[in-house]
Amino acid sequence: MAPDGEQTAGGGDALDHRLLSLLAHLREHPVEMVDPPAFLFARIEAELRITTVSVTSPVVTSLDAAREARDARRTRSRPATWLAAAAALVVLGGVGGIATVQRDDPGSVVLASAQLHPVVAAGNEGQHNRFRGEEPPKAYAPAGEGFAQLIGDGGKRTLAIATKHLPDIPAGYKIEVWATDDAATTYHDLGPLPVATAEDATTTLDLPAGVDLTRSPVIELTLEELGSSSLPSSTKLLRGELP
Amino acid sequence: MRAPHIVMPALLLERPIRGVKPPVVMRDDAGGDTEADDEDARLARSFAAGDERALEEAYERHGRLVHTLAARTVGTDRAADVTQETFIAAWRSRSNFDPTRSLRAWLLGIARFKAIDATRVVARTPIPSGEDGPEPVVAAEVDRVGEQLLVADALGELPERTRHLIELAFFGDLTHQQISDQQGIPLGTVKSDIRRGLQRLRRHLASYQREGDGDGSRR
Repeated sequence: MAPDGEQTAGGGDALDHRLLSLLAHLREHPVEMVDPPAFLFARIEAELRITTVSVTSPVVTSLDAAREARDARRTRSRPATWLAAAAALVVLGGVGGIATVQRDDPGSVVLASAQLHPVVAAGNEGQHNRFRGEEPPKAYAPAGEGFAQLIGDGGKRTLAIATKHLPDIPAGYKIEVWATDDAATTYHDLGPLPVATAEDATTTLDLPAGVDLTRSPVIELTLEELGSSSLPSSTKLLRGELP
Repeated sequence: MRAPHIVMPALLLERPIRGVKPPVVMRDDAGGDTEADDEDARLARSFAAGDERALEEAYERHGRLVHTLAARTVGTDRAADVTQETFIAAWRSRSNFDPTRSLRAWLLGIARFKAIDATRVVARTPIPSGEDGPEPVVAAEVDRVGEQLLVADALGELPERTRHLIELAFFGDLTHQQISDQQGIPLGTVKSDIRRGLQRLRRHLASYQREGDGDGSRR
């Protein structure tokens, strides 16, 4: 394989030849890279943290830790990195995270999870517009992404929500989490996200009694005026369906 | 760039590569560090030191490469699991990582093991007793794909001009003199740019090949 007139082949030459061969291959076969799925890093973070936490304490405690971390973030200056947000994502995990939770603490189990995708604005107008006469916030281009996970712990159920890259939320508004059905006939108010800006957020919401997520499996995040009534506005940000 | 004509890799190796004589131009001792080298070194150091922001940055910079190897070897359905396992194993065994080496290649080396493991599970291939080395055929295939992706990825991260010059030399099949004339760049600059670029690719490749020999990074 050694080219004519080259020096005696050593390890370095073999490497040079390999590199040239790879460049030649690349010339004929351009490589297309494949993006990992959204939120894979959150899963990685979650698994690393679950394992760390559960070495000395059960996962249920880490749920409390997540709340404490969230509350702490509200009061001190916000470390607005995604990693900081993910720090509260203790129980958010994909396949790996689920396995870890089940192994370490049989009492706390991920029952279902769903990606939340931006809602296209064209479908937003309609029966739930509730901005009575007020100028609604300017139309939002679909943006951001989210992740919802239903966690069961004994008889208690919690919905963990993580969001990323949401549009800016104007003063006087908040993001509310709802559960509804495919036809959007009934809306259950699950609570607000602890976020006032476009920062990445995570939260865990206790599911109210009487909310049946098998009948209302669609999780929706909407923009709401502070102090508004218990119906969702027409400004829908993210939506996803629990399996 | 004119239409490329087909050149078999073997033929490309059999002749002097248009002014690029590998043993002469790719020695490690030539050329200074580029900014990109500094960036790589900084990230490698903070990863080894256990800085959590470095984990996220490593994922942002190299997650696509790892995931592409996974997708190409175990299929898209299971690629996310392999990518996840790779970064988790990398973080937990970061004390095994030598920050003077290529983090990109080290991560890809771990992904290689994870992909081989995943393939073996799917195939239900029995693990030979007494050793848990990968199946030779599967390992060779994963290695091959890994090297191709590594070089493509590292090439894409070279400084714009360097990458362009290497592409003209290797994909456009131009001599250094032709590139110099065509681009209006002094011949010496063309040569040194290409040399430095190839050195960087070579360094990543060398690191990756060492990973394949096994160094305790397997989890």
